[in-house]
This record gives sequence, structure tokens and C-alpha cells, in this order.
Amino acid sequence: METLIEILEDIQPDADYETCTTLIDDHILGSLQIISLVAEIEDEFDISIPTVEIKPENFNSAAALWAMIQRLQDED
Amino acid sequence: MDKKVVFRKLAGAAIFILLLALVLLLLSYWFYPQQSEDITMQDVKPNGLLAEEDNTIDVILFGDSEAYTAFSPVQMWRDEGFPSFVCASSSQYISLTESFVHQALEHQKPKLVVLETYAFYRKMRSDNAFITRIENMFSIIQYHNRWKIISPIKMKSADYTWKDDMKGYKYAKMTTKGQNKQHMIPTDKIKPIPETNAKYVERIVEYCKQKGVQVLFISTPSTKNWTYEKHNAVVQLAEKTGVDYLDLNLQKEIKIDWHTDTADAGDHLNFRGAKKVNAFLGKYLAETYHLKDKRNDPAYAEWNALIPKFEFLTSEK
Amino acid sequence: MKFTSYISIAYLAIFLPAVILLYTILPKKVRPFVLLAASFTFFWFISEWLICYILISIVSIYLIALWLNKLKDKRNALVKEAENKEQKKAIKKKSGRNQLLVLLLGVLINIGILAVIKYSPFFFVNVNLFLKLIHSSARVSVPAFAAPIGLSFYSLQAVSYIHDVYKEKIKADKNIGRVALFMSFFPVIMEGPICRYADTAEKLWSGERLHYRNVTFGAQRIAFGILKKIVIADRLNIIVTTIFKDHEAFNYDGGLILLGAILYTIELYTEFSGTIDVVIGSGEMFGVTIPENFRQPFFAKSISEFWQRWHITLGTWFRDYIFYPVTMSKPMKKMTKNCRKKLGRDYGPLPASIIAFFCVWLCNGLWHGAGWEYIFFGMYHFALISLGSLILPLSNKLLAKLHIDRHKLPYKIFTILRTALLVCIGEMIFNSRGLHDALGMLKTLFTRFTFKSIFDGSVLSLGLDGHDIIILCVTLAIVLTVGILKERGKDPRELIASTPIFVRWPIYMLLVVYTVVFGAYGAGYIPIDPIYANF
Repeated sequence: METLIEILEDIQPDADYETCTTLIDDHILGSLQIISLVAEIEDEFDISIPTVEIKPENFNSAAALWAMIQRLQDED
Repeated sequence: MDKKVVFRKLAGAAIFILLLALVLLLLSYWFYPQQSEDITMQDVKPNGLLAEEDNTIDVILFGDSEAYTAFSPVQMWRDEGFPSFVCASSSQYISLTESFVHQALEHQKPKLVVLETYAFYRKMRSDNAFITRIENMFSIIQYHNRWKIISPIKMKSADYTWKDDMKGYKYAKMTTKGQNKQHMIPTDKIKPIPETNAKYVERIVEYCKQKGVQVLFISTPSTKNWTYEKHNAVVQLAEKTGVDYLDLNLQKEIKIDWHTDTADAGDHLNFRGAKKVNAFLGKYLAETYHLKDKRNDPAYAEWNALIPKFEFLTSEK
Repeated sequence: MKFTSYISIAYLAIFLPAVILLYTILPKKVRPFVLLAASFTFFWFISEWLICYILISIVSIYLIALWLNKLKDKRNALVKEAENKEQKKAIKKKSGRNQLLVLLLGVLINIGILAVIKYSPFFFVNVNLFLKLIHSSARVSVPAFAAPIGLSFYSLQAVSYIHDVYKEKIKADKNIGRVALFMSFFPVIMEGPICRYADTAEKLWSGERLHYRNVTFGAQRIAFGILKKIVIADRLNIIVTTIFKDHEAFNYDGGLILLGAILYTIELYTEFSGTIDVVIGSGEMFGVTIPENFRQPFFAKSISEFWQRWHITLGTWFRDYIFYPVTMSKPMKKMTKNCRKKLGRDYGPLPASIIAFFCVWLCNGLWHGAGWEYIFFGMYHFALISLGSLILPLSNKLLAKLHIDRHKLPYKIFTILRTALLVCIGEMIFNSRGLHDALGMLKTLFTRFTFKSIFDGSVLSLGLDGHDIIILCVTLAIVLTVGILKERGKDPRELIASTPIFVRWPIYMLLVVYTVVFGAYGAGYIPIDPIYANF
């Protein structure tokens, strides 16, 4: 989880990732940030994020992202 | 859901609709034009005639889209020097033509009024008495645009300052190839003009005669809309009312090429077809009705200024 | 009966009420078939035998989806039996490849039909131009196809359906009726919104009874849509057509061209969003939530935000089926990673996204029409959005230096106006008569800009009188008010519904009377054909 927050902060510094649950809805993460984010997460956690997973529910909060990462790790 | 609730809601909706109808009825009453007031101010292009100075136009042509794509006053002015105007609107009903004629003759003293004949065949809906009743009751639909003149604030009475540079002609650039088949095959058969329409035409002719204006029926070239059967019917009506008739479909020297001269495969003429028609028609009208050449009349300087614009628009680019 | 638009007597006073009546009196089980029959009837009225095309699309995606399902079932069974991880991976890989081929077959059929009907004439015309350019005397004959109504819209729905099945977002539907209704539902067939199977299919087929609230709210939305279209769009049509048609002949100055661009954008917005109001209102009556297509687009603060608010369903379609698949493809991901190392946080994701933006905007331009002016339109937005992403980090730094707060009102207004202006210029290109015409207008705009013809009154000679201008302003103010309310998260319909009956009813009546009196209809006005139905 900490690594994830670090990645997020590296990509878009000004946001409180511990609490925010509207990263997508409030346009904190735009499509450019999402592209970077997916690339970094895949690298860091050695998973592959299929495009179906790229939906607001999975990207709106750090917790949701983390849940998705763990799920994808288990599937592998 | 509870039956009672359903009933109450339906009743509410019904009352709402009735009230709305009532409001529209009252407005219709308010919007309905008084006798003398002119009633046809919706049409932008034909109403351009009202912007012309009084008693300056020598020929006024009425009709539907066939008329405004075929008759080109600026070209006839350029070639023959008589001022004319096309009072045509798309799908014009002959009843509307009648009010246009009345409106036009109030301000203008033309030598000649031309009625394009395809509009004679446009069936008016007045055949259905019930629908007409309803339409008359809710005449707000028809006269809604009168808000501009009956406005209680009375900003200004309606002013017709917009002058149409094409004098009612609508420039059709498109070409959709048609067929060069013979569409006027001589026959004795007649396709009768709807009775109500014929009555309207007779009334219009009568009115023009009263005002001392000659009338001419013209059929514009169209392979889609015109036939010899219709030609025969118009010949009859012309004889009955004592009016001249010119069927351009039979004038070989115009030489319409239906491959290149129509906007929509034989329905309407495009600018090329219109050029040919007006070259012929301008000469024909000037000679037959002894129309004066006013090109050097300083009062018509404005007309001469329109020629370059017209030529630019209708040049082959 | 002849339909040319949803805003017509034939649809509003005859077709829709008839369908509603049948839907209410028939039992629940039959209702989906009422909608399906109504949809096919509607299609038939407009396109007659061209209905074959949509039938081919429906059957093809239905079968492709089932085929995909079969492959997936087979894969799952094999994976279960597999002994170790390596085997599982091999099975998945092999099945994945087969599935991809099946998906591509489906895409090929549906996009193929679209391409042949819509783009082959454009293609062959340009082949001939090229042949002429290289002085070859050879010419190919340009084919002409009649296009069925809504082709550009339902083809995209078809692709989204099989793609979503492929990606296991949804399950393949065994009921061909439901697939058919999803594809052809009559309110959306002509001008969208582009729906997703997961959003509308279930509800459409449920045959749920009508609810009083849905019907009345739907009717209100329809009434407001009609108002927008016939009071504003149809009224603007005269002056807009005049400016765009005559600007060359009569040598209009830049001010008048800009006015034309702005008025055309307003016309396009009120026409398109008004029609979409009628569409969504119609769906609402049957209890179907059709996705929104507009979210107050002129409050957007950047071009990319504009496209998240304007024709939303087209934008999200391109995002989900072009932008992400391109940026998330393996080579692109690799590139992003490398670029991030070399270019840093701000510019790292740019190369991949600029490539994807290019694909999106090329498709977007072409989707709107087969012509170079549309490609130009697409490239215009591609350039604006790419530039926007490029200079964003810079402008952020600049603003920080100048101590300007992005969230303060004056800056917000500045960005809103700037975006609106850029959008208007884009729509001007869009409405031009061709690439040459578009460039000519742009040139005039920048080289001969004066307000002369606007202030000397010659603008009044273009077909609108003072009365018309007053009504336009009043009506635009109403539309703006509704927009502000919605932007603040309030539904104007809810607000009105919560007032007592002697306030509420007069408002509803006023809405109708206003449209009846001030609508630009009847003799002398030429209603515009639905602009988006031709795409």
C-alpha cells in the first residue's frame, strides 16, 4: 500500500490519497495520469492490468486501486 | 397502485390538457388577424416584395419551389430591363397564393401577374372538414408569428426592410443528374385540377382583372411534376378564365439538358436550367407584354448594382 | 407516415403516443416485443429495405458473442483440468488468441459495412484525384451507396457489445430479441446517444409498466427539447445559412464570420441537445435511462473537458475502444515507462497519449463525415488537446509565478471563454463547405477582423429582425439558467415539481405556449434537418 501511495504522489503530488475517494470523479487523475499510473503499477507489482479494469470504480481511491492490484496478483 | 390514486392522476392530467387547450384557444382568438390586416408575414423571401418601393415592379410571379428555382428577376432585368419579383414559397398552397396576390397588389401596380401552374395541383387539406375545424380553432399555430406585430409593447409595427438581392429567386447550385426522356407525350387525357383549387385560381384571376392586371399561367420545366395531362387541364382553365398560358415544357428552344440542368433529377431546375429559362422567358415577356426597358432609369440604379452579385453566384466555378 | 426528425408531428403526436398506448394495454410479456416492433417499424419508415443492414449487424454480433462465450467456457473447463501453472497459462494464451480472432471478425463485419457505405465514395474520389495528380488517365468509378438511418451510431454500439463480451464485462445474450432491441431502440436509432449493452439492454427488455412520474418528467424533457430546437436553432438557421453560404460572394468581414461561427455553434448545440432531450425523454417515459449526451458543455475550462461534456457517449466510446486500447497496448506501455524515466513525470505519458489522441481524433473527424474538412476538424482538436497537454506543466509554473489561482473566478471565466472561442472556430471548420472554404474563412477571420458590419446594422439584413434577436436572447437566458441549475447539481424539473400546483401548472403551460408562439416554424421558416442524423 505504501508503495502505491508513493507512486500516486509521484504522478500527481497535490492530493490526499489516504482519504480521497473521488480521484476520477473530481478529475484529480486525468487520462494522462492514468496511463502513467498503469505503467508504474504494472512494473512495480509485476501484474498486467487489462483495459476492462480501467474504470472509475477501480481508480477512485487508493484503497480501490490496492484491492484491484491484490485481486490481479491472486489471479496470476 | 391504488385505483383511486391512478384515477386522480389521470383526472389531473386530463384537466391539465383541457386547461392548456383553453389557453391556446384564447390565444388563437387574440392572434387571429383582423380583416384588413395582412396575414402573411411569415415568409421571408416572398415578403421581400414589401421592401420594394411602391409601384416599381412590372411583373410579379407567384408559385412554389418550382417558381423560385426557375424564375430569376435579376437575369431578366440584365437582359431585358424590366423589374420583376418572385413571390414564391416552398409548397405554397393556392390559398396562400391568393393572400400574396392581394398583399402584392396593394403596394404594386404590375402589368402582369404570373401564376406557376404546379401549385394548382397541391391538394389543400380543407377536404377534411373536421381537421380544418380544429386547425381554425387553434389558429395560433398558423398565425403565431404575428406576435411580432401585435406585441402589446408595440416595439414597432412590422417593418419590411429586408430586400432580397435575388428578388425572390432561390439559387440552386446542386446538380443531380436526371434523364433526358420525353416527358410531354401528347394525349387528349386530362388530369383535373382539384375543384377547390380551381375556384381559388378563378378568384385570383378575377381579382387581378378588377385591378386591371393581366394574368399569365406558366408551367416551368420539370420532368417529375409536369405531364401532358396536366397541360390539357391548364389549357381548359386558361380558356375558361380568359388567361394566357405558356407551357415552358413544350418550348423546344429552351433546350433543357436534364443531365446537367436540374438540381434533383428532374424535379427542380438548378442555376444552369434557370439561366436558359430566363433567357427565353425574359424575351418572351418583354415582347408579348411590351414591357419597358428601364435599365437607364436612374430610379432603378439599385437594380443594376445587383447584376455582379447575381453573376458571381451563378458563374460556373 | 414520413419521419425526418424526432421533432415532428409524425413522431410526437402520432408514433410515440401510439407506442405508449399499445405498451400500456398489452401484458408485461408482450411489451418488449411492442418496443421491438415499434423500433423496426420506425426504421422501416425511414430506410425501408436498408433495414437489412441493421439486421445483418444484429445477427452478426449475436452469433459472435455466443461464439466468444463458447470459447470462454471451453477455456475455463480446460483450465480446471490443467495440472500446473504453465499449462494454465498456455491454455489461456491459446484461447485468448482464438477469441481475439473471433472479435476481429465481428469488428470487421460491422465496421466493414460502415466503411464501405460511408467512406468508399470519399476514398475513390481521392484515388481519382491522386491519379489525376500523377497524370494517369486511369479512373476508378465512384460507387454510391444509400446509407440506412443511424448507421454510424448503431455500428459503434455493435462493436461495443462484442468487445465487452470479449473483455468479459458482460455475458453474451442468448436472447436475440434483447440484442435487437438494444441495437434498434427507436428513440436512439437516429442520433444516438450511443448506448452500452450493460446500461440499457436489461431495462429495455423488462417490459415494466409505465409510471406516472416517468411519463410526465419525460414529457417535460421532450417539451424543453422542442423549445430549444424550434425557438433557437430553427430561428438561427436563416442567418447562419446566409453567412456560411454567401460569405465569399459578398465578402463578409472577420467580425461577421466570427458571429456566424458563434451562432452556428449555438444552433448546433440547441439542435443536437434539444433532439437528445426528446430522445432521453422518450426513453424516460418507458422507464429506460438513456445515458446523457451533454453536460453543460460551454462551462468547460479546456478543450479536453469540453469533449467530456459534449456528445459524451461518442467521447467515452472513443476513450474506451480506441484511446485506452492504444495507450494500454504492450508496446505503448513500455514506451510510457521508458519515457517517464527520460522525460520525467509531466512529459512521460505524453508520447503514448499523443499517438492515441491522433487515432482518436482522426476517427472522430472521419466519423462525422467523409471529407477533408472533417479530417481537418479532427486534426484541429487533436492539435489543441496535444498542445494543451504539452503546455499544461509550463502554464502551471507560469501561473504560480504570477500568483494566479486557477480556482479563482476571473481565471475560470477566462478559461471558459477561451475554450468556447476555440470550440466555435472548430465548429466553423465543421460547417464549412470543404477544406478550401474552411481555410478561406479562417484567413478572413485573422486578416480582416472588424466589428464594422455588426455595428453598422448590416447584420440585420441577414434574415433576423430586432424581434427575433430579443426572443433569441430571452430563450438563451432560459437555457443558460437551466444549465447553471444543472451544473449546481439541481434538477430543474424536481424544483418545479416541488412547487404548489398553481405555480407548477402555469410554468408547464407557459413552456408550451412559449414554444407555440415564438417557435420559428410555419410558412417562411425552413426547419433544419437533424444535423447529426446524417453522420
